[in-house]
Amino acid sequence: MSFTSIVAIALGAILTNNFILVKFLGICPFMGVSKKMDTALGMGAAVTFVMTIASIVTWAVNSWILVPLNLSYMQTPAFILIIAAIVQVVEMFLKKSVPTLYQALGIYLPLITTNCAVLGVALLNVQENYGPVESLVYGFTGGLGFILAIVLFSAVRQRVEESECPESFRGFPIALISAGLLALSFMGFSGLKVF
Amino acid sequence: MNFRKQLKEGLLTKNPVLVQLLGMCSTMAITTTLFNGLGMGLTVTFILICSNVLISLLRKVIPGSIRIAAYVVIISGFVTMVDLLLQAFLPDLSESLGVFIPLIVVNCIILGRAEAFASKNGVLASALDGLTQGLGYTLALVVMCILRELLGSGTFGAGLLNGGEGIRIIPAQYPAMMLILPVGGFLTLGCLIAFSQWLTRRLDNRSREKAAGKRKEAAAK
Amino acid sequence: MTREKGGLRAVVTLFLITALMAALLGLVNSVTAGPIAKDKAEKTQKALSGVLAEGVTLGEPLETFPDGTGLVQAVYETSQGYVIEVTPSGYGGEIDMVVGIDGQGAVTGVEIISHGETSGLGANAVREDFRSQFVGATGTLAVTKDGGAVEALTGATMTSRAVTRGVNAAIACAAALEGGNGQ
Repeated sequence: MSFTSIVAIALGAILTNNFILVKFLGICPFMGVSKKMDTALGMGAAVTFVMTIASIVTWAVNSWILVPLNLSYMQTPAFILIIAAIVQVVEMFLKKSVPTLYQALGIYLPLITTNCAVLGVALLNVQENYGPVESLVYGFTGGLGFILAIVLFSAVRQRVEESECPESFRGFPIALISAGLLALSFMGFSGLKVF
Repeated sequence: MNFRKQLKEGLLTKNPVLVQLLGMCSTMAITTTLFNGLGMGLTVTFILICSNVLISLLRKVIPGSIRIAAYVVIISGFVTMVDLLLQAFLPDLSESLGVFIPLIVVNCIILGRAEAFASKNGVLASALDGLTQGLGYTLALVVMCILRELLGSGTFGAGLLNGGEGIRIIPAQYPAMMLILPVGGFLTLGCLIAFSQWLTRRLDNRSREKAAGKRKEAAAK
Repeated sequence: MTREKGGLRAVVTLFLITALMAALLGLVNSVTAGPIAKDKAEKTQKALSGVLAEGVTLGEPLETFPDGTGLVQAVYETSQGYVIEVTPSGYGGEIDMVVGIDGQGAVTGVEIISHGETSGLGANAVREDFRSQFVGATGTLAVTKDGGAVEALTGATMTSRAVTRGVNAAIACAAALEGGNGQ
């Protein structure tokens, strides 16, 4: 687990393998809460927070409980319950201790449970055989990639909303096509060489 | 309970992907070959029927405060069972869909139908709802797959027909590879939803015209 | 009072539902565990014998082997050289593949056991025409984009790089083994 491999994971998660634009994980919140830049930023921050905690907790549960007990087929149900519990705990904690942050993020928190990026990062950590530090880095930088994509996209979307387009394309379809163009620009990063 | 009406809603007027805009992740991620699309669609349909039936059976037992948690447990259980069954008996499909099978757990269609339909309706109606909504999802996936596969790799039915190679329609050097890359997923789905919006509006207009025509006739009489 | 009762009922119901699903899952697992393991073993066996040159027989797996890349999972000795299982990371998780190496350190074959690559793109790595370009290779390989000679799959540079990395790790491992055998 050298420094370069950590950098490789981080760059991969943010740019070359961006969760939304390349791996198609977390499209629902990406399309749903990207109409304004500040809400997009809020959602991104909440997702990053939960993804980071979820990746380390699911790693611990998987390698200390599920694998030793030969229960790795229970991964998916266990992970989704852990994520739901984390979201719940984070919500309660923020409500009590950081009410201002809670007010800013509150409405997005319940949505995170059904965000495929969070479950995705937990499952991919297992598939890639990542250790604790790598899982943590992957979860955190995956979240950063999520923020990057959703904030960029919200800026694009605000402009698109104001411009004219064929009636049938108005609203969701044109947003999807703009997202496609954004994904196209992220493809440029695939030439990025880390090794 | 009206099978015809439910089928029409699932396939067209309330299509989970094209109208309700649910389950985007898998719709865009795996629709690169017909084999994937059909496999994913039927897998989701099966899980949707199972979870709808069980949730409908338990709808009077589950207290409202924990219903979402209970639904998630039920859905993730069924998804994992199907995942294991596919790994054991259809390893090719399981390999091809990869991480998107366990991710069916967070596919909003299933939780959405549990909350919106199965928690309020009887077992048979819920099973039918699962079937029709699942078929609607499958339809959207298959259309996406056919378009993307044809334009992106120039074949039809890869993984299914012609010994897995698919039937080549466009010679190998011409297809726009971009369409089976992530970009193509966004573009194809955008165009497909635009088409369905256009179609809905046209049908609406036509039925309105018809109604107006009838009214005129009635007035003339 | 009633609220407490409601809370208790909720907890018990949730617990019962979880128990029911866990029991069902356990049942399904007991049915599928056998076929899954058998399928995996068959695929591995087929891949192992697929990378051998004609007339070469597969020996026993080595207990320890040199691995500078962290990609090598297992090494089997053969009558002329080695068969090495490597797991480089591609686009959709690890690619489990085996590489056959002959006594001169050249690749005799590459087979892919399992992968999570996109069908229509990276999944084409299992095709014969992609894998066969590694046969006979020695030293360190690279895809054409990185200045090497390996023709990458169209639209799947990451997968092609991963497979190339796996082959490189196998060649290096075999070279280290040969060197260690006192030649």
